[in-house]
Amino acid sequence: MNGSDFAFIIIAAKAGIACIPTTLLLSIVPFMIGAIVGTIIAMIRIFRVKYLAQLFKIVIDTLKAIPLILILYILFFAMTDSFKNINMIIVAITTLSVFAMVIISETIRGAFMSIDSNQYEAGYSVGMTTVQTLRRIVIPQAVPVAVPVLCNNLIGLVKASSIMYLITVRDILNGTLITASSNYRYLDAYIAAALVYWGLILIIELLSRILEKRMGRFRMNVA
Amino acid sequence: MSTYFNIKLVFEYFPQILSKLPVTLAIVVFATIAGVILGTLIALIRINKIPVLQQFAVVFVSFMRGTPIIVQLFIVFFGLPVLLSKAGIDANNWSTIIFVIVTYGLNLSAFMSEIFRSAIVGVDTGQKEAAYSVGMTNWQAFKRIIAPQALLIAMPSFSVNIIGLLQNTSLGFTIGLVDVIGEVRAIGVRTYHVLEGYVAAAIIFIVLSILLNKLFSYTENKLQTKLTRISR
Repeated sequence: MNGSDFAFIIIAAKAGIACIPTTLLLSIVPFMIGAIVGTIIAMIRIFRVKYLAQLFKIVIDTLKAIPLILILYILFFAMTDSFKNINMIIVAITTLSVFAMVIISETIRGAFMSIDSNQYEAGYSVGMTTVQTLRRIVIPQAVPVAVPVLCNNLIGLVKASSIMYLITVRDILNGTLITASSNYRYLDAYIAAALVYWGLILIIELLSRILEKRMGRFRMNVA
Repeated sequence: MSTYFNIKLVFEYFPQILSKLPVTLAIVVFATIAGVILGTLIALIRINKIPVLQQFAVVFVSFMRGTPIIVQLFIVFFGLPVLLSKAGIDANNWSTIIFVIVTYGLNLSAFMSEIFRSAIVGVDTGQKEAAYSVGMTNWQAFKRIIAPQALLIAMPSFSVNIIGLLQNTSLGFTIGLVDVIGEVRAIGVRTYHVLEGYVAAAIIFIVLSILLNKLFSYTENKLQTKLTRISR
């Protein structure tokens, strides 16, 4: 390997850009699944539902401690054993959904915990039910807290999805690497992949900042 | 591949997999040291707005935060020997653990610099002014007044990142590192039983995370009581 070839980096980056839809699929679908399941788990833990709250605390803490790559391989072997010819995208989405569920449930829980208990009491004191208090008082305050962290979670998912090249999913990383398989310019291919990820994540960060601004305005209106 | 899961094998492989734990721990320790030193440096560059270096730091931190660590790992693995050969150093035969430590040290430094920066900025300016008002120099004010408070602010994010680092070490096998995961794969090649090894590795990581969490919350409590005692 003798240095890097700029022209080849461009070629590899183009191949990577063509695979952005797969990476987005691997990030956004698990994000949505994680948001739904994670919110339910967070609610169960916030309202201390008997037995379930303790159970989910153990489940979330355990899953949080296992590296994603191990979750991937354990699910990979379990799933390929149970279903022959399973599509690797399904394995990837399942793994990342587990990951998303863990991080998003913690985000939602953190956002709700950041709201002072006075706020609930204030709601109850004027005769609101729990649902009304949540909808009118707590959620409007928790959302602006959660949004920036959720955007970070999404960025984390985009980055985490890169390990799916190990199970031959053709995402950004795999897309760029394939171009290097004939000339062994792997350094260039990895640099190209880094540039594509970097650009994609900068765009997500920009969108998140715009969203935060709008949230800020929304919050001002409430106050 | 394994067509069934044999729980007995989890225990059988466990000691062998555990014997590679020092590799994982060495990466965590050395990368943390490198990350803290470099991270502090970057934070100071950005707080004091040193020209040129500051712009460089901003791009570096953005790159490290904006790209997957596995891509960074391979860029260091393939790129560092190329870079060093220009300086006349032959790095082709270096042990893979060095590349892993370099990558994770660099990666961690970016995250650490952000944590330290927001922690130092997060200390009330009144504290600094109070230190100056009693005649402390810039350095004294930082060492005695700002740093201890900033440390307390930084602690929770610091621990989250170190535990993240511990988990990221699991990617080292992709460049041929024989750590806990690398050993599982070596066993898998010999015996065709790999799922059991991954489960054993998962148990090791769960226990390590619990221990690290305990250590951090202990340190945080210690720091908290020490600081409140001083302020009293």
